[in-house]
Amino acid sequence: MELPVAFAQILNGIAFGMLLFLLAAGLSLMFGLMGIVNLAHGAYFMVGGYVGLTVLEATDSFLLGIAAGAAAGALLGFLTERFFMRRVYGLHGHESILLTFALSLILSDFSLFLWTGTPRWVQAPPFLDMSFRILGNPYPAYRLAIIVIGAIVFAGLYWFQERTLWGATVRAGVDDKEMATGLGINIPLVFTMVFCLGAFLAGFGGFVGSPILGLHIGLDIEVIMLALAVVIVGGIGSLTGCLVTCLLMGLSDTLGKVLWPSYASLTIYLVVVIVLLVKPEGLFGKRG
Amino acid sequence: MERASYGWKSILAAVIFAAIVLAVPLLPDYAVTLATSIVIYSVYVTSANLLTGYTGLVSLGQGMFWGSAAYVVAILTTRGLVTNVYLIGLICLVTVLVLSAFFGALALRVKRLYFMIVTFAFGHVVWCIAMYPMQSITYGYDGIKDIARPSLAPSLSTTSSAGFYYFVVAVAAICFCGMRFLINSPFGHALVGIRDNEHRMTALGYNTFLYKYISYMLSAVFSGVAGALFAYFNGYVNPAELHWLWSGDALMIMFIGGVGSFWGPLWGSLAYTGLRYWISSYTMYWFGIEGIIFICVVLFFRGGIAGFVSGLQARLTWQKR
Amino acid sequence: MAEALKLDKVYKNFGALQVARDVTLSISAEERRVVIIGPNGAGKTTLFNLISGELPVSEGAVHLFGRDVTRMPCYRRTRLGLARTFQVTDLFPFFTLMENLLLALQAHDACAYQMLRPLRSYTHLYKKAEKLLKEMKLWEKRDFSITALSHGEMRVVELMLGIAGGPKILLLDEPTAGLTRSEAVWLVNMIQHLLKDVTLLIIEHDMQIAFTLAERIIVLHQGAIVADGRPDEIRGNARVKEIYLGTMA
Repeated sequence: MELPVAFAQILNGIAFGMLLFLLAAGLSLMFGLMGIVNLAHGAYFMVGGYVGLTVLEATDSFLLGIAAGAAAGALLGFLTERFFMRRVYGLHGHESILLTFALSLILSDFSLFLWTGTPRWVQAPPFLDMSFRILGNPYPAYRLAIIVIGAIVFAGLYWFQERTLWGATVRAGVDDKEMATGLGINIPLVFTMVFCLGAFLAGFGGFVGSPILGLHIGLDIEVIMLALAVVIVGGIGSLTGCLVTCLLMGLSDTLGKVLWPSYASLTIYLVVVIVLLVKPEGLFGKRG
Repeated sequence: MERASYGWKSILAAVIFAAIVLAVPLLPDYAVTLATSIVIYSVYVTSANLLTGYTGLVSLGQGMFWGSAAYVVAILTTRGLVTNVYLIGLICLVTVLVLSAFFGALALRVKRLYFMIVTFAFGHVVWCIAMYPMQSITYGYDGIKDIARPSLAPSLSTTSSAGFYYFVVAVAAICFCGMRFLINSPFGHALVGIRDNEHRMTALGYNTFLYKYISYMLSAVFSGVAGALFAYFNGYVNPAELHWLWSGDALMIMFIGGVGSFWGPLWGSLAYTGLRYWISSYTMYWFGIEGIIFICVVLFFRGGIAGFVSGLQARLTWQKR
Repeated sequence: MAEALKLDKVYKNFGALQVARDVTLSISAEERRVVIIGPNGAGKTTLFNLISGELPVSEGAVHLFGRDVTRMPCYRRTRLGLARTFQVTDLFPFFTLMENLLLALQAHDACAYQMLRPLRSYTHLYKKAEKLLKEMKLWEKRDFSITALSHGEMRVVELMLGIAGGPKILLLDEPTAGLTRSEAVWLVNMIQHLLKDVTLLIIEHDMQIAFTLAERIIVLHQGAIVADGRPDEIRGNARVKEIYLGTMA
């Protein structure tokens, strides 16, 4: 492979990794804070994309589409937490996992009903519908924009986590729930907020990513699998670790598909198996 | 824990149950086919019940064993490599044990909450392998078709729906008996202890890793048996049998039937198959509806059907636990 | 004199927090009742966790009956003859009393991995359970769900789970926690009567019970042993008095 092509693929991998990050950050936070594996997270992503698309078609505004997609995600997250997850906190873990699984089935069929099974493609917004020359070859500006957006979201989350009171509260909750409650922190409210934030990011990512990934039924399953792989490989408890892992996985998947097409998504899961052999708590995870 | 009581009521119930089971082939063909699938699913869900209901490990990887065994049957029969059904069964068993020994040793290294994600990842790895590198053998998305029904003895073939039904029932009966022995044994007792308080179990001197490992492998065997039966039943095997969504379905069916209850898998399979058959004739959105049903069960009928039934039983006989 | 338990310069750190400092002690197999006292946060339960294997040591060695068990997982130490009970009652909530006890009994039995014969057929386990239940005056409640028992009774079950395996050394973490005065006295009598041949290491908060029961007292403070001797020696120890500020009997 010549250098310009390789470089373009690397950029693709990073862009994909950023999209993964939008999804995995929320998932990882929910898992770390509440011990919940939210299998519906991929559905938030997909529905956010579809809602954004509908709004885009109605208003011709990409930005409104983004807002709608993100809002749809947040709403779904809120409803999930408020009406379903609350009932099963503290029970055996499998109830919550299966509930979210059931929810993802419902959302998937619901999407099929509303938007049919025909795959949809979203055009990048006019102001980004161009390419830059990188190493002699044209590269779509939109993908570069994704990378920038991802970096901004990471910076925002990092600032939120490290520098604000809310962030400290969430961190306290992740470290020691009982202690945090004892200190008067309203854990249920924190849970709801975290859920909404994670789902917001997912919905946002679903629409923002649609010019690259497209929208089709089954997208939710594809992305949740990748996000789960990220959580295993990266471990939980570190935002930076999550980002790094996402970029790593994005690169492995993209480069893997290019270099060994017959093995497709196998590369990512082999990484998972290897990490499990060597460091079960994840590359950036904390033991115990 | 289940208690065996051999009063006349139980014997009567058992006789009636056996009669119903044996009389199924009197019904029209489509009903026999449905019943066969119910029995096969109940063996599959029993494997999930053993691992999740009794040992407390939630796995999204059961589909891997069901699918692998199904493919072994498909490949061996369609290519005429092995024709003896008992030998095929043995090969399936070995395949499933090797897979579970390998994946189990890795998956059990992680904390319980991670276990689910890890088993799902493993299941997906196997799916990917079947789809891509092994495509020449498995035919990828197209799947393998025209799997012939086995013949159990020179004059005993199972091509008729009744014949195959009895074959499946016989195998399932053996599995359920095995499960029964297991649950009532000291080993089974220890599994439930591990489910409810693993910390105390290690303090008491139990090597909980070994117990969980064995349970994982045994549950893989049940899945494999069901998967092999399915390959013969369906005549066609494709990658969906290896997909983790099917593992998720197993958990949901188990839940609907009643987690950790011996007959839960049968109740669940009955409900699932019946509902799916009925609802699918009206709409194509079966999965969404399955999700809704499941959520209702979790929120309102926590013990599943089995729990509901024993609640009824208790109220009818004024028993107190 | 055979050594039942030996801790050699054991340290345990959680990051910057040191919960066990230079803990060195030795308990011979002939000793019977060693009581550990110390103010809250002294690290008593942590010490038990280090001995039983729930917590790995950061530095130092743990020896059980002459064998180095520092790297041994929890369950293998139990196999060597160690058992423990917990300060917060930790039973099996979905089992009956009898089933709880059977779990403890079958752990050390050859039938622990038996998958075919039903548990009910192992009558020797049931006989052992019966004996223990009758001694603890809980035989009538053997088929009750464990959650139907009173707190005091559950504390007794907690003790039974520790005794059931016939250990040679037993760690009791505040066995009388939450019991009424008379229940506590009864339990202490039971302990003295039933466990005549077992080396007991007991964490106790109640000074009266501690001094009545003990043949030897170890005082912990901020993760380190500050005193170790006979009850009368400890009673007269100025440092100990200082730590407790006059709360001793």
